[in-house]
Amino acid sequence: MSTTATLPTHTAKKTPVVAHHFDDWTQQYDACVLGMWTFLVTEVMFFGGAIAVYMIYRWQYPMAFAYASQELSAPLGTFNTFILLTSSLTVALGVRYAHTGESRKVGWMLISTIVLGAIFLGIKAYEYYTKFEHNLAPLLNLPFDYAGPDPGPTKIFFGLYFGMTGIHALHMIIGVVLMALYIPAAFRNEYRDGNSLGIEIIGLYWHFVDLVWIFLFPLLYLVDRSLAAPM
Amino acid sequence: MSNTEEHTGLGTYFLVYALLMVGLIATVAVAYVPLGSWNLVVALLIAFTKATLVVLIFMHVLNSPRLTWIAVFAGLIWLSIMLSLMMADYATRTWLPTRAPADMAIPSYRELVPLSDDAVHAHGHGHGEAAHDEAASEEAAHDNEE
Repeated sequence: MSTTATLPTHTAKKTPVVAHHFDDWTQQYDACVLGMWTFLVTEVMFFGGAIAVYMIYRWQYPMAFAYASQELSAPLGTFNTFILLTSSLTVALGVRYAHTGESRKVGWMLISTIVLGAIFLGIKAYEYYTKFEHNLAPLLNLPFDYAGPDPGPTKIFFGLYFGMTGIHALHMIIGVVLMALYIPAAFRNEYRDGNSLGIEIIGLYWHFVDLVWIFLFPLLYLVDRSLAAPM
Repeated sequence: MSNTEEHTGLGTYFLVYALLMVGLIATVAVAYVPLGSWNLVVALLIAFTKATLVVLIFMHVLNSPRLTWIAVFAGLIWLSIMLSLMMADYATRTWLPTRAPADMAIPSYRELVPLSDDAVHAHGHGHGEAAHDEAASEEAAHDNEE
């Protein structure tokens, strides 16, 4: 190792360049995180509006929602939740590796997260496909055939299902694209100095997507399963 | 995390992940247990617990400055205001007596504020006495209705 003295040592961390309107790196870091949280709060209100609609209709047609929820696959939903929670872990580890300056590990964690996100979206696409196949998609003036009671509220349930999981999937697609943009920098070893701000921000976004799903999963897939179970 | 030199240990992340998995299994299992309306309450409690773990540990809010906490709680409080007030509206609509649509028309100003006797009297001066009596009796009949 004595012959490679010109290489930067692992411990010598360079302070990231601070934008001119910030006093120091900590201030810039906190400001960016606060800005991201402000955006996430607007996202909370965005999904909150959909949840409010869901709340009112479920309150008015509880049994129709219970029977409609039976049409969704609980095993697939559970598996998807498992996949998304795991992707949340990988992105959390990625952020931590960015903090500790292990840049290539950040890259691998981002790739893992993208793969897990793609698996989630693939399963979601398959679920959508089965709904279209069973004529349970209230979209594009397609025929909606539901043999059970209350086809009207059932149609509303599936409208909410497609709407809420659809905007959630859109958020995931955006997240996957954004994370893919960070991978080259990670493998160029650009996070070796603990310059983790970008990774921290995309991590916050991905965790938020995970948070939304934590609520969507029981609200859509597990509505009164015990009541609607076949006698 | 304001101080980038402070790291949450790797073990903490795996512990949180394990707890999230326990929460997932619990959510699915409890959904099939007949608890009546408590099913929803339990499902939401588990979801809130999982969300709290993700926000505090995975999203580093626990180690964040107070300003970040304010933003997080602002989201939580505004969401609860929106949902609770909307539910309060829908849940109490049946408390009011059902009225026929014709009765729900906005009353005119004169219906809300009937002419006083003096005003009726003063108004009646320009017209015949009979017309005045008619108007007064109409006014009285209207009052009886109310």
